[in-house]
Amino acid sequence: MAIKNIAVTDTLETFRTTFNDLAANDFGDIANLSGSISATNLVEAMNETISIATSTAGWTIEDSTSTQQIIGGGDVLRVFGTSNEIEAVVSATDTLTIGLPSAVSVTTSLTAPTLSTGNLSLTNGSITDTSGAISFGNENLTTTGTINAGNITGANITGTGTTHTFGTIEISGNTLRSTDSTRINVNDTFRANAFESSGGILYMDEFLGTDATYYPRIQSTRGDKVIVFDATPLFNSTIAFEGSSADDFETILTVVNPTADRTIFLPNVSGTLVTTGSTDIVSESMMANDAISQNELKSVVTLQILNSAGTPVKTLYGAGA
Amino acid sequence: MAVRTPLYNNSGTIQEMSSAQITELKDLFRYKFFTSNPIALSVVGSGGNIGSISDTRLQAGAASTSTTAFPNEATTAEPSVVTVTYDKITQTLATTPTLTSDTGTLYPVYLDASNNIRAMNLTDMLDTFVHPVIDELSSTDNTVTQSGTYFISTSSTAADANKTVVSVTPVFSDTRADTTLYTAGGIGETLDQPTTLTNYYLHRNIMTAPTYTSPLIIEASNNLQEYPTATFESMIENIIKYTTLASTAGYTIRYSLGTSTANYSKGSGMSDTRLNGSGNYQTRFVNTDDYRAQEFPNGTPTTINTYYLRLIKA
Repeated sequence: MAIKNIAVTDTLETFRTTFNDLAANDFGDIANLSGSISATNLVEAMNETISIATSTAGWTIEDSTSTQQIIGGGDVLRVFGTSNEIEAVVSATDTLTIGLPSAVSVTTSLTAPTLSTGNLSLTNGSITDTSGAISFGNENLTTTGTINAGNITGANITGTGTTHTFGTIEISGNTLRSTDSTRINVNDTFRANAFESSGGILYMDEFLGTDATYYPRIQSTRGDKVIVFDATPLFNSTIAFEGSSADDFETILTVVNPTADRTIFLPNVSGTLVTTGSTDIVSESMMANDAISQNELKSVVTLQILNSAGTPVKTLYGAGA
Repeated sequence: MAVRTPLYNNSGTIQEMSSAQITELKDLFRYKFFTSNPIALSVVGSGGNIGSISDTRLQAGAASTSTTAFPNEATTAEPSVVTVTYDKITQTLATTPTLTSDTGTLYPVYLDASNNIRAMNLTDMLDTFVHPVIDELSSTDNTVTQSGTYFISTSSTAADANKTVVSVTPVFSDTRADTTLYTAGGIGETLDQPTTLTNYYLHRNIMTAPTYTSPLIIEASNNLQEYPTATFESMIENIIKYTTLASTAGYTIRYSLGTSTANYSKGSGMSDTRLNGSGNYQTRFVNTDDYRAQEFPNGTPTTINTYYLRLIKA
């Protein structure tokens, strides 16, 4: 059986004879094919033959890329592991054990419905540990996705990006806000170096006084220093005024301990309050009509206006010498 | 006697009046007496009601005649006295006003002993102003201080600006027989041939309205107030008129004519003078059947009476 070749210049007869020879001598008569062969052409018959042969005297090995290798009778199949990836152990009888080493290296990926180690299980979208705790040692955890957790604890929790939300608390840059309301509740003492209102015109902090001690301070950064108290401030007993100079001198407004509700009215006028220490300040216009009686006059003297019968018709009181 | 010192408003300060200011107020009382003239004298032709005064003079005795010889002196009529009565001054009293009742604050105020301010009463007003002014009016002087009073002058013109002549009709004339008019050649002379020596006229002391400071009074609300001028002057006029007309304390003013100088004689005394001779016997031979004799007035002028206009404060 040799290669049959028909040149271009060959004749049709040559072609006929060559073909017939080929069919008769090289391919054979299909009618003579074994009856156990069901194929109807030569190629399929050969394949069917191989299949029958391997199923009896050998076998074929195929990998995940559909690459096959026939293992015939007498052939040796050598199986090797890969360091830190997989290991193969041949043992009696006719046993090949494929396993993983104690230290497994997976070059690209490891896919499994559930991956367990010790108490730790990794499965689709879940890492759990029956101990109730998973430790990442001192490693940094990074995700571009979202971390949903019942509790997050750690020495330092650092987030990158612009917005971080804890429950309904959102941290966006340096801004902390509630996502479901306009209020954040701090159920504990809230301490900061300073507090500012949204526009920065209210400022609360503490400062170091000239006596080397700290003082709490509430400031208005407005030019006119106004702070609006739409409330009823309840002071203990004293209000102190520093004045224009921060020094050791203050004016203190204090109350004697009230034993009942008292109301002191500040009149709806501009002016200067008068105290018992004031001198030469009470003016005529400050006196209400019919407000002064003789009892308020010093060393009171009396001037009576009498009618011609000597009956007083008016009595005038004045301060004496 | 309760003389008070009224208070006044010295630019906002209540102050007692000075004596000069009180004098000004007295002048106002005086002025009101003058202008209201409650006791007015006027000159009438006759029938004046404050008394009669007489001017007497001698007139010649009637001439005697005889056909044989001159009548002797003893049988010749003596000069006689002619008397002319003058009752030319009438006193008219104004109707006595009702003295305004003091409700207690009618009069100015003063500082009493307790240094309270008290309204004067009527007694205070009389003692302080009215009586002293009437005392000053009641004087023999005739100056501005006696304004409103009358006096007698021999001049028919006012002596100065503080006097005026009530009438140029004499209220009295002193006459005497004019001896120069009697002559023997004219025996059968008119008996009464007088000459007027002095006429007397009624004058009055006057004044101009004084300036003064209004005292303080107690007004309706019992405040002190400067006495409103019109009200103050009306009150003054009321009290000075009432007192001079109806005082029961000896301060009425009246006038009288008489020879007495009691009280206050006002001005010149009006002397009735006449010659004191017993007759100047003269004869006249007309013809052998007509011998005449007559006694003419003669002698030295002698004051028979001096009459005075008297202001009587009583």
